[in-house]
Amino acid sequence: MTLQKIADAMVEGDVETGKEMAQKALDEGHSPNQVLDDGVLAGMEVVGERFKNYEMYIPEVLSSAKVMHEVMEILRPKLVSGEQASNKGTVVLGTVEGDMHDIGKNLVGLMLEGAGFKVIDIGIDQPAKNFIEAVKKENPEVVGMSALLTTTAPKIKEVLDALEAEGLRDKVKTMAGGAVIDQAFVDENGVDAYGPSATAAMEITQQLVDEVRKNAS
Amino acid sequence: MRANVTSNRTTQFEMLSEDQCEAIYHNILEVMQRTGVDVYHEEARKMLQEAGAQVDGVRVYIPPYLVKEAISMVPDNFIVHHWDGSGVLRLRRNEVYPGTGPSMPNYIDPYTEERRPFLRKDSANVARVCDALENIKFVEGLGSISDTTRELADLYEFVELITNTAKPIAAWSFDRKSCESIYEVAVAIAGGEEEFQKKPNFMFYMEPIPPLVSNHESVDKALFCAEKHIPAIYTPCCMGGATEPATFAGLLTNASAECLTGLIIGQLKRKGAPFIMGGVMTVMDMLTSTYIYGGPELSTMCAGMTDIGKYLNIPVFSTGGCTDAKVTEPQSALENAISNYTAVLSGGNIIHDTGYSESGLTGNLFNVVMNNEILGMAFRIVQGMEVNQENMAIDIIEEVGPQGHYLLNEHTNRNFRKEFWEPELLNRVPYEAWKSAGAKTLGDKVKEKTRHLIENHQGPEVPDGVWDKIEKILQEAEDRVARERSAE
Repeated sequence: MTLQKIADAMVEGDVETGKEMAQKALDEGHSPNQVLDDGVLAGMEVVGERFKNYEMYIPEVLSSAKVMHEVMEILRPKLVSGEQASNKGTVVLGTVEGDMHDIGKNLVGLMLEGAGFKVIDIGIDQPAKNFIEAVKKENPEVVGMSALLTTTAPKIKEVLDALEAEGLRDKVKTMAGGAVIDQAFVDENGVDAYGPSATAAMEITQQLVDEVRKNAS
Repeated sequence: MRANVTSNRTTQFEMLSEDQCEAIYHNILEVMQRTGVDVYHEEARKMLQEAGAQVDGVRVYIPPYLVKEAISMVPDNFIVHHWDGSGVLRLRRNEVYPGTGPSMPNYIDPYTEERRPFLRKDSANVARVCDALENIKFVEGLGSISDTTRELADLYEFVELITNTAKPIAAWSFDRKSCESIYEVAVAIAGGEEEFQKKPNFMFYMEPIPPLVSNHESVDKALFCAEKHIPAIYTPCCMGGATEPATFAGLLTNASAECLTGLIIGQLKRKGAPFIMGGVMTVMDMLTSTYIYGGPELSTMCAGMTDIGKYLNIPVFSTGGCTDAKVTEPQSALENAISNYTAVLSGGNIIHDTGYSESGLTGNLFNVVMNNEILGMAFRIVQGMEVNQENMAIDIIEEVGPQGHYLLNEHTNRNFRKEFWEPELLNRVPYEAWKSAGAKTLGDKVKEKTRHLIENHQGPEVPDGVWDKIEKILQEAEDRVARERSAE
């Protein structure tokens, strides 16, 4: 019952109830992993499904993600495999050089964080070398590149070339998005995946992380 | 003679009262001074600082007196010319000129009806079809060319447009260099720089980035426009709830601050530089994250922006004739009609984006042809009615009396063509006649007319010697890009 209330609070985007119920569930003797699985993740599953079907507004989804973050703050120190539970994968995101548009990238970042990924957003107008630096530092599974303009889209290829030159190309998977990007563009330029929306980005990221981890093991 | 006549010969429409405009104006002044704007252009920041703005990194805090000074210097009316002398656009309060929209990556092929990348030949066809449509008053290209040197897609587009129609072009470019080449083409067509200064034949379009950012390229182009007296359209694409506040008055505040930043920079460069403010004022769809082009929010806010422009005495760039529908279908008709009608009614000066479809991702020439018909209806409504001796028809009513008819009356014959609007594509024939003529829908007739114009309409004759000059400009641009590429 209490676990269900956590899930409901996630769906409702009710931070206070979420935190209160998480504490209550722990006090009642539920294990932190139970709270995580049957409360937090159960709630996020509903949210994810509704969002995917265009049944839930983006600001509401972001509120749900906020509840999750707050509840995780309570759970994380108590989880036996705390690190693992929160390590869904790391994504480096950036808008490529010459492009200052970032609402799409920001939205993808928020959604991915909401879904539990660690997101390193390096910002707008980022040359290839900054993507490389971030990859070396953060060791992500996925690199996401954004471009809105036909003139800046080719910069995506420069990031890929730089990854290749640095011997990092096989260590990460890449994805691209933005108004002028489509499947044909990513196929032509050797990007691993394309998503037309932030929802698609969530699914793609999960797939790419799984692939990278599978290849590594 | 009737004394003390108050005449509303045209329909009256106002989204914001003077009081509301004033409130938003004060909001704008506060944002520019207290929040500040980011200007990614060193020369512009320096100019702003010397004029009295406070500069901290890229952030610029602009005092109200700078805003007011710029508003007092910018012309509240100016003229853009057809290059062949066949017409003018008079940009002054409430003069309305609808036209197409720019630079979408995709295009609905007018024959296969498939969505495909936009090609150079499409620019020529767009211009020729627009040239033939009486209610399209200026032209933008409807797509970003994909089959020329990538960096010069903007220049090739301009060449195709201006050589296929004399109607003024609202041009765009990636950067200042292309803008300079575009200007050279326009000068060649005008017959020299002096002639262009007297009779500018195109406007130039640049986009600051909400919220409150003027990027380097936009400012660079704005400075060039001011220098050369090219009418500058400084127009943000606002996304309420995402890149701007979700509330309309908040969005219009930020959008205006973005526009006025460009205005001030232009006026500091050259007093009296012609300038147009406005843009695409709309919201993000909170379910799909789509940038909405067909919603009532766009029409409401563009009408509001138009009122702000009128309040400030600055010509306005409005939006209409656009849709989120993917192909030409009832949704496009509905959204095109409401947005263009509202924009015309509100008195926006340059109303762009006719032919925009799929939320700004696909150009659709069919929709332009359909909008021509919609605009005809809108113009007729906005034209309103004259209430005078002849039109009140009191003697004719007396003459015919009850139970008579007006068909044979000279008054009818004299007036019906003036008062009635005649559609070209809308269907009014009886059912049997409609059926035996192929049972064509509006969509069918729009497509037929589009293809007919592509195949048969010829634009103006380009003056002797101009093509040689254009070829030279294109070659120089190609050489420049080749040099830049090899330097990288």
